[in-house]
Amino acid sequence: VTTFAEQATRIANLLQETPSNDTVARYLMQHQDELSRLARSKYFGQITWYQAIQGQALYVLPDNIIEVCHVLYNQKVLRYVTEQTLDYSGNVRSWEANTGEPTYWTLDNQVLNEVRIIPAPMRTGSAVPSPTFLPMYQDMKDNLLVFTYEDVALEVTNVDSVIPTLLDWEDMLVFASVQALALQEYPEQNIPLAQNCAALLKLWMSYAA
Amino acid sequence: MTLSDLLQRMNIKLGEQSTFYPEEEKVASGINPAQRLLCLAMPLLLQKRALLTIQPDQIFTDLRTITPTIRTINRVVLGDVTTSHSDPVAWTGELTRLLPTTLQRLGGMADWMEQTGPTRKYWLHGPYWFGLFKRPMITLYVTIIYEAMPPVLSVHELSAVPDIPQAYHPLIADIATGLLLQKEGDIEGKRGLALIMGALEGLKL
Repeated sequence: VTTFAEQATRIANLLQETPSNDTVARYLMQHQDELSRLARSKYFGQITWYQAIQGQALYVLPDNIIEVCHVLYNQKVLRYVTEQTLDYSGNVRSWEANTGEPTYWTLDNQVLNEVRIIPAPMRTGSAVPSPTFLPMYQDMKDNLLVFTYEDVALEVTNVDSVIPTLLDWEDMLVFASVQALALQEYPEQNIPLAQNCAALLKLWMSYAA
Repeated sequence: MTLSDLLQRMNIKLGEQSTFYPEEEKVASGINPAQRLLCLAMPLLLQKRALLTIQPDQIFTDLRTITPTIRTINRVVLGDVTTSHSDPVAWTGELTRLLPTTLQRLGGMADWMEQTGPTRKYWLHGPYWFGLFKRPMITLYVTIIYEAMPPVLSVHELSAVPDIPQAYHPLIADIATGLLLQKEGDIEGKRGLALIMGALEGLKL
C-alpha cells in the first residue's frame, strides 16, 4: 500500500524541492488531475449494489461515476435505451407512469449521476445483509446491481491517502505530475526535467498499454 | 544480488554521492520503479499463480484481496494447477482452461448472472473484478496465472533479493541510476535516459 506521502517525496526529490504545506498542496492537486485522467480511460471499475424501491424510477449514483456500463435488476440484464426511443415506441407513450418488471435503464436527459429504471419496480428489495451473498452480503433479489467506472481522484485528499492504483501506475503518476509541475510558470520552472519525465512516461506507457 | 549489492552498484555509478542520493531515495525512486519497469518490459520475468476458492453464491471476486501483486491475467484454469501434480476431475471439467469473455457479450443473455452449470468462461470488470460464467453449483477451485509486479523492496531489509532472475539484477541498478539522474538537469537527465534505454535494449526479443 502506497500513501500519497510517499508519492509526494518522490515528486519532491525529482523537483529538488523541500516538501512544505504549499508544495505538497500543489503536488496533491496535480496528482488528482493525473488520477482523473487515468480514471477517464476507464481504469477503475466498480460494482455497486442498490436497493430497489417500489415505484421509484430514479436512483442516485455517487458523484465520481465516469460511466455506467451494465445494470442488472433481480439478476437480469436491463437494456440501455434513450428517452426518444421510448417516446416513439408506440404502445408505451406513457412509459414514465408505468410500474412493472424493469426492462430498461437510461441516463439520457437525466440529472447528472441519476439513472432511471424503466418501468419503475413493483417491489421493494430486501436490504437485510446475509453472509451467503458473497462478496457483497446484500440480497440481489428485486434489487439493482450497477457496473460502473469511477474516478477515485477525490479519495486522495491528504498525505495519508492510499493511492488506489497498481504500482506501475504510481510510477507513471509521479512522472506525469512532475512533468506538469516542472512546466508551471514558477521561478523553479525546469523544462529539461519536464521533457525527460515526458520521455519516461512515454516509455512506461509503451509497455503498459 | 541483494538490495545491499544493488545499492553498492548504484553508489559507484553515481560517484559515491550519498548526500545528494540518500539510500531511501535510491530504493523508493530508483530500485523499486526499475524492477517494475523491467517486469513491464518483459512480463516473462515474473509470472505467478494464485488459487481461488469460488463458492456457488460468489458472483465476483476482487482480485486485490487475493494477491496485491497481480497485473494482468494470462490464463485461468479450472482446478488447482499450482503444484507439479494435479488430478483432473472429469465431471467438473477440472484442469481445463477457462476462456475470457466480456460483460458486453454476457449482456446478450438477460439471465447470465443467474445461470448455473458447468463453468467454462471468466469475465473481468476493470483490472480487478473477476467472475465466472456459469456460476458453479458446488465450491470450485480456480487457478489464475498472471503477470505479477515484483514485491516492493525496503531500505530496512538490505538482505532482500529482487524476485526476478539474477541475470537481470544488474539491469535494475542501471535503470535505477538512470531514474535518479533525472533530477540533475538536462545533460545528466539525458544520460540517465540513455542508461535506461540501454538496459531495456533487446529485452522484448
